[in-house]
Amino acid sequence: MKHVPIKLGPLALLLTVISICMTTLGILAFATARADWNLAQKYADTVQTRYTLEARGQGFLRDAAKACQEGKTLQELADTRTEEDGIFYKTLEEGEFRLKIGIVSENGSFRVVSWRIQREWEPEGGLDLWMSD
Amino acid sequence: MKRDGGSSGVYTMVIAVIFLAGFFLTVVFGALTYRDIAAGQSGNNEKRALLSYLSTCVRMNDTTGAVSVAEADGEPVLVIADGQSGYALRIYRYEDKLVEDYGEAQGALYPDMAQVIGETKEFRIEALGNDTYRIITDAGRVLFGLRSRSEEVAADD
Amino acid sequence: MIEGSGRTGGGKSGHPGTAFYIEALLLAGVFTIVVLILTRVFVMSGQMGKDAALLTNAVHLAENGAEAVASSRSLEEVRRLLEENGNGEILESSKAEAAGEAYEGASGENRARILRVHYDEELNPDAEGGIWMDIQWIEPDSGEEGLVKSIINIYRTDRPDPVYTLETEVFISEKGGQL
Repeated sequence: MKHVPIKLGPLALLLTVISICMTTLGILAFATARADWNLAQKYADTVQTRYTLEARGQGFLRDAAKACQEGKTLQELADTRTEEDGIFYKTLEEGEFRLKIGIVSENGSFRVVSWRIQREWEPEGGLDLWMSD
Repeated sequence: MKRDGGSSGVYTMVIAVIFLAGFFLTVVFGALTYRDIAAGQSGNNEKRALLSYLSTCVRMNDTTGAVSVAEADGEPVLVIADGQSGYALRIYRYEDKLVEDYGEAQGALYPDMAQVIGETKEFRIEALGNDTYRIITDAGRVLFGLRSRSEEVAADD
Repeated sequence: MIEGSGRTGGGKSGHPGTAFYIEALLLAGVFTIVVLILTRVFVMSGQMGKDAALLTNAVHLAENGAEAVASSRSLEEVRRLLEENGNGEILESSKAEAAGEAYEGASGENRARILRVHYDEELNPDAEGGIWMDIQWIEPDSGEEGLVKSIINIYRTDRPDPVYTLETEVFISEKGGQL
């Protein structure tokens, strides 16, 4: 039987190199897709948190309306504080987000003057960029 | 010998071609997949940057009279006032880019010094009534409604 | 010339040696497995990328829906804010019951009504689009001033479960307006 001489050594080497490059591409593709997915998840969670806060804020408005109907003042609402400008503020927190609602008394009811959603942020300390004399 | 050497080369070539063809197809498939993933990621980032940024800016500054729509050179400008300072963040389209700058609320725009938010050929703001607006960009539409009310609106209720 | 029993030849008979066959088999096997694994990785990555894009779009749509709800006093008003090119429809009670969950807070009746708004893959309003947003408008008991609950679900044609769900509430005052 005639033998079939085939040199496999160089071929194996070439294919091994190609496999390594392909594996690198595969890892890169997976990492990129994973990062994109994680960002999308984070965005989804952020929006959920914001609207949970929104729902709580709307609940506060209902409580405020009820208080006004019962003849109470806005100052009697729980966990509100009055600032110098006469606005009553209520702060709600959910996760990293904070909703600051400002209402003012008006015609036996109230009006929303501020509805700000903020994210908690703390400045990094200890980095002096420039020292003045 | 010569024939053996020749046939050795042919057989080696055939096996190599078969393996390499398989790998080549995998390479092409992988490259196309990676291209799609990168394009998708880029599109998602653009969408999040443009649309989320607009709604976040509004949400962070929703106080009475703070958010308004102006017009400059026929282009809409979203003006978000910075408290009572008289200054405001202005968001508008300039040279197919959505940009923002900071200046006097009623003052001239500074497009050359503006910061680029993203690219868009379209930027329209539609007022839908009841302090609700729809902003249309290349990345999509964003709807926002102001929760704060001015005295005139409350009086109408 | 040294005649060995390895790759290039096998002994006096000229048969290729066992080692050659084993090597060839191993080579074929290993690289086939490598190709299969890599193909699987690429397919998985591609799918993950598409899922990320779909989720981002769904979240964005839901956010718009929630803003429309927050700015509205009725489901009709939500429809007016969101509908473009006739891509919206309010589902009748029987369809709404089938499509949505009963609100336990309602007094024995299903007060949920659903607005369905269709979009295409690019999130452009399209009455025949394969992506749609269901906005449930769940009113509290009649005669009671209070919170309207809204559940927003985003669906796509090829998926039975919602891609994304968002819940929010809006306070509707006695006068029918918002404060």
